[in-house]
Amino acid sequence: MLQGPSETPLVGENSLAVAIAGSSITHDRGQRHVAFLYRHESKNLLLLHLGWHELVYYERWPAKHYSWLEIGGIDPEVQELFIDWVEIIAAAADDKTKPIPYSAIFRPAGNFDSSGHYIDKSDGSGLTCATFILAMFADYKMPLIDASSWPKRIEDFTWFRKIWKKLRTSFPELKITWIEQFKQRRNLKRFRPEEVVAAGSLYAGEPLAHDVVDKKVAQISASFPT
Amino acid sequence: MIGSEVHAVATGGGTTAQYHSWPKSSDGTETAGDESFRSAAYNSLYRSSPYSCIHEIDNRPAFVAYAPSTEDVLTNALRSISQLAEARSVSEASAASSAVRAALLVAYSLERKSLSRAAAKGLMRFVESNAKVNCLAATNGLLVELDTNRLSSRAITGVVRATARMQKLLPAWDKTYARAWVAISAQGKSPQAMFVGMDKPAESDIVAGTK
Repeated sequence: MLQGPSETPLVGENSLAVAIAGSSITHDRGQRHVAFLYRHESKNLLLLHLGWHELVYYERWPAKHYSWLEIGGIDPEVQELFIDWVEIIAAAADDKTKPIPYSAIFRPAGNFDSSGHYIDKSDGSGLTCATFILAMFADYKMPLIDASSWPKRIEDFTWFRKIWKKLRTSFPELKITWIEQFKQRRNLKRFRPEEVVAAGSLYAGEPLAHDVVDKKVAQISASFPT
Repeated sequence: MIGSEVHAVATGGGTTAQYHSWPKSSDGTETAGDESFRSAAYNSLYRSSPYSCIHEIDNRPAFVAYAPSTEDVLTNALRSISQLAEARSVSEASAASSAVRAALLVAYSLERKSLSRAAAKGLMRFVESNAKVNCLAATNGLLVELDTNRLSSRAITGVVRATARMQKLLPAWDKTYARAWVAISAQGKSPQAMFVGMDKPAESDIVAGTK
């Protein structure tokens, strides 16, 4: 079951979790946000997440707003190795030389180079809060999901339009990015925040198909923040 | 009329090496460049090995060469350049090798103090710093030199995973992965768990890794 903000995460042997927040963070009813939560070597709980276009957050666990589920299907030593590798991504994001574009066009693998920088192919692709997490796991050779099994859903188009409008308004100079997304609209798949939470909790070594993840989402949907 | 002198100049890292004299026309001006010669020489000098640590740096003037007057001169020039490239390559390989040895000595030392997470992190940072300067030679050297008997399952896994995305560019990766698989198993850990999400190494490589 999804753990609420009042619960303390990662007190056992697990060091990884996926945290999800609702409108208290996004200020947009119905819009959820997902963040990677982990226990740093210093024992501090940290969040690493993509907030918006070229905006990576690396911050202390706020102990409010976010509900969470642990990722328990990975050996604890490998969890810690992953954290130490993720810290390289966090450091690379901090130097801001290769920022991460916000885009619904997702490359399921090959998003980060070996120095932790995002590989910008200038093809309109980028990440969202959800695919940022998927990309980190995939590039550490632990792909949480089988992206090819994800459906194209007509109801996601409303979300795509909302994002493009925001991108267009906030970054008019990014014409190519959102035009490219619009051009590819019929092929776009949305990887939803709640699906990343579910996939993280289910992962045991094999990339998860959408139907498996969807069942888990249905089980815990009542407890997701709105 | 082109004179008989031929020279080529290569600069890099602030040093200038001169091998021959430039071909000069009768009025003393240098002749137009021969692109094929230039490319061959340039490649010989700067791209002699795909794992060379020589980088094309903006402030490093490109190799400059001009058309030789005879084939013999061209051959000699290329031979000289090739010798320099080899010398450079040897010295860079030696530098990379020293860096690898140093990184591993630190890791082994940390392992002796049971600081396996620090050892793993140090080796991952070494891979990361090599990636930043595009020095795959050092990363490949790390894979070759890595003594799995002196490292914990955590450090071994850390190195293999940190390099997995570059595996196609690292000749030693497949065999090191197989060695790692065998070593982790010998340490009583499950290689399947440590390399979760990754394909098992080829059986032939695993067999070779046990020898």
